[in-house]
Amino acid sequence: MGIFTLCALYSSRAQAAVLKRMFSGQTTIAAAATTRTITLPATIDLTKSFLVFTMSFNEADPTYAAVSGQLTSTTAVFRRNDQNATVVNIQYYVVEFFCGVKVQRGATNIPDTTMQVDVPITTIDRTKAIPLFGIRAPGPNFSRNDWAQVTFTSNTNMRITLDAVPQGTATMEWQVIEFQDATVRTGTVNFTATQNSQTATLSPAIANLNKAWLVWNHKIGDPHNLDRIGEKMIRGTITNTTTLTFDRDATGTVPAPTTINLTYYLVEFLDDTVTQQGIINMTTAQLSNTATITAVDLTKSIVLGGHMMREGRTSAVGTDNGGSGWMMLDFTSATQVRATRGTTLSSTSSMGFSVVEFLSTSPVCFDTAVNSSIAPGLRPGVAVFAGNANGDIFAFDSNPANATYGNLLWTYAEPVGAIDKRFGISAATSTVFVSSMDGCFYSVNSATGARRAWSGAGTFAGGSIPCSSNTNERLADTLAAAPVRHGPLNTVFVGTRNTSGNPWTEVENKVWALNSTTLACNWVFNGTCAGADGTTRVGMISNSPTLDIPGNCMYFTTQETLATDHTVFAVRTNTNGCNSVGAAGSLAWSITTVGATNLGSIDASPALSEDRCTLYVGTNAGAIYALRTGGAGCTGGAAGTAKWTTPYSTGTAGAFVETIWAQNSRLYFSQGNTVRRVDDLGTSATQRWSQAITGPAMPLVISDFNRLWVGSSDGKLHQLCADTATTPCVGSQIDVQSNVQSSSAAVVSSPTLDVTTCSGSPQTCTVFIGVDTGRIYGKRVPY
Amino acid sequence: MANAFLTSMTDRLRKAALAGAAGLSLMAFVAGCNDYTSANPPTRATPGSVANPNPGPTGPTGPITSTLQGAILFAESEDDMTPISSPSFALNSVGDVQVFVGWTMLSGDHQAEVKFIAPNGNVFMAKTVDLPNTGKTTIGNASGTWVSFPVGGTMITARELTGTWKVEATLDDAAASSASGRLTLSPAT
Repeated sequence: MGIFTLCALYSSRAQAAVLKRMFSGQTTIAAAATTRTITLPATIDLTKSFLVFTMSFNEADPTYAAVSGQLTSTTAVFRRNDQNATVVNIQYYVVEFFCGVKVQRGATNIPDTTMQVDVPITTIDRTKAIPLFGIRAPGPNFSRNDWAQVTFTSNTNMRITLDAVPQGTATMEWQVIEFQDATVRTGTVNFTATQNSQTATLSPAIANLNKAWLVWNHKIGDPHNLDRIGEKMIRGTITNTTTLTFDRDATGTVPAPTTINLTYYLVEFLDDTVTQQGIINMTTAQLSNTATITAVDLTKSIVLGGHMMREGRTSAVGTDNGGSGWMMLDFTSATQVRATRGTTLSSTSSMGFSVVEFLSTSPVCFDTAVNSSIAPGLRPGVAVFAGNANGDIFAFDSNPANATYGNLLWTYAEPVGAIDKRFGISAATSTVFVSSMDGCFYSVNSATGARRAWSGAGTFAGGSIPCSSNTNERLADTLAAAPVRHGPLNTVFVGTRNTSGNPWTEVENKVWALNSTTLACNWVFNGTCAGADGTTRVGMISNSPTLDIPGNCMYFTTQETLATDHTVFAVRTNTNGCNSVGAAGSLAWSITTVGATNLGSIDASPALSEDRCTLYVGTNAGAIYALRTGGAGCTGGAAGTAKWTTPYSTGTAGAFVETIWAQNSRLYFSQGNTVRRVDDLGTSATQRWSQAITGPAMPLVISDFNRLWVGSSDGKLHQLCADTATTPCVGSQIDVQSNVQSSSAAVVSSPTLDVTTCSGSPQTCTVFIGVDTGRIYGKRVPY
Repeated sequence: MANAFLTSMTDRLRKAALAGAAGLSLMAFVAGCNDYTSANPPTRATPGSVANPNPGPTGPTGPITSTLQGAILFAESEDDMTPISSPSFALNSVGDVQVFVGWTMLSGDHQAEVKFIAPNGNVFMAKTVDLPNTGKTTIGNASGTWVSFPVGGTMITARELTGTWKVEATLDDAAASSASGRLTLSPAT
């Protein structure tokens, strides 16, 4: 009797943030204006975009100086409650991401009858979320109802707390931002009346100060000190890896000193985002000052202060003018940050600032929500096609020149079972072919996402979506093998994965030859178009057939149930194909042994040499056999016989991943947590190199770069030296890793190369990779 | 270099494109995050039971009560649907793992979402299965259905996604009526 252990701890599903674009600028809310609207250069996705801004002014009445801001898909709008002659200067940043950031937003009114409002929000992960906001309350003084403490009391509730009811309705415009590849820890810091400085101790310590961003907000308790602005304004800084410091310049004494209740959010980015922190001090005479920073990319960087992104500390007293402590921050160059305040009030001030630079090694990413660790499909320069383990099918705009770059083009509307292997993509017919684990086969218009045909209506008749186990709908129990299309014959080949039970068994497998346009059945190897079984024992087909188009021959491999089961097959795709006499769909040859050795089960597709005379077969036992195809013009022996005197053995059991990449007698492959290059020497094989990589995907080799790329199960895309003869490898090139996900357990697919993206000198290209976290990332290679 | 380079890569891409688990003795009945051991081990399931092949009901018609307890059981293949204890399979010795998803006290039409969660914590696959009022399979006190979890020849074996997998089932989107179980996939031998 077994007992299950539940509630296992799982690793976080980290999602690297990939910046799409940033719009920034300076603007003003002019005298006599209450609103300033900035029209954005492009329409943005509000769920992946946020607005941050800082500001300066010279005004004691928040009616005219308290500003909130919010985004629409085409604008950034800044508002104050009323207008007068005061000008508010604003530096804004609109930051939009392809993925990795989720944003929700709203405007919440706080009536003059309450100090606390609970705002329902869509469920968040509080370990990844921060609130940003601006509040504008009616005047006439910067006092208790002009500061707000904002906390998440649950995953679905944001609480706004003031220290006094507003004098009239106040409005907070807010954003809740979740950085999916970051951790956020929060805490509170309280100031008693006489305290100038408080600290928060962090445990564990900040892992990397260059990835930390301090965000905080606070409310003030100053029942009577209407004119002691310096008591109300806080500077926050990251002092070291274990200490946050919050301080102010003026401390209340009598008659009623100011208390502070502060909530901080410490963001620690786990992806490629980097941060810097600094302090800009100003003398009593300075309206602005600068600080030097390490050079940043100004198109990817924001600079912010404290509370409401704008607060520093000031020594000003005897006034309610907030203009000496709330400041505008901007970059004067890639290496300099400037703080500007609207008035000195003959006070000193100090701004603690953070620079956040949203770097990414990925130029683009797409979200499929669920495991998508199969290599993405591609229409070069047009679209990336992704399928996931829910059976969702997506198309994303992959053209960087388009305004809609990275956007979802379409989602296939009908339910489809899980997708385990690559799509078949036909640019010529604008079709995506989908083998699904539901056993049905689909063709989808790659431009629109509309269904062209499916097995239940094209191959058979009378089926109805969704696919069921009815034999007039599905081709097999499951379809795990990627489809492959034969252009000249306008035929797509689909191998089956029948397992056991009804209606098929694990040896009743077939290859369907379907019309690419209609999916009508042309013929079936080992069966009939009506779905009847053939007489050959054919095990599960796990990967796609390999085509010899000129030779009118198709090779595929299978698993075995009995040792006598044949597991390598050559089938004619046309009359007298495979250099032998027979009809289309007939068996040319098959084998179960090479010499006296049983091949055993084979999951990986066979690979064909460039002269089409050798078929490389990687068995699940960890051996590679070089088999003669017997094709036209080939010499040395009969079809299905061994070319090497002994097979190459990896020494480790396990299936080869997808297939062997065979190029100029060089065989690149992944098997048994290792990537290898093995060379075909004619009558034998020798290993050129091997590299241990956890859970490697099938490699993508680009000889011109002397590199290959392989996804892994450690969250990385590995770049290996392919070691071509003319450009030997050096040690530093052997394995260069690039994080795709910060999670060290993420499963990364084989990359798909988009040749239309190759540019620059030295040339680089974009590859697309899928990850089991549900993301598709672009990567520039080589890196 | 560019033209030749692109041509060669196109050729490679074209070529790449062309290339293109058993018995149970019980089992545990589980609900929420607590472990329960059934006092009444289930009887052997009906061989050949499979997930309902027909389009299912449009929505739940039966009640979900607080007494519902979920059951996740495993069998090695459709040929032998005997639930097994400590389900563990080597990657090279399993085709589809059969997973029984059921609940006690279940009546009416229902749907369940079944998630297969990989050892790294990511949802590898999710399926929605129908639990119609009639035709459910009964094991012990639980009524439900068998769901196939393809392993052999899939990306699971190719990428060697070994370790402890979790199966979670949720009835009619009601988190209170969730059930879970675990199975182990080990490297090929």
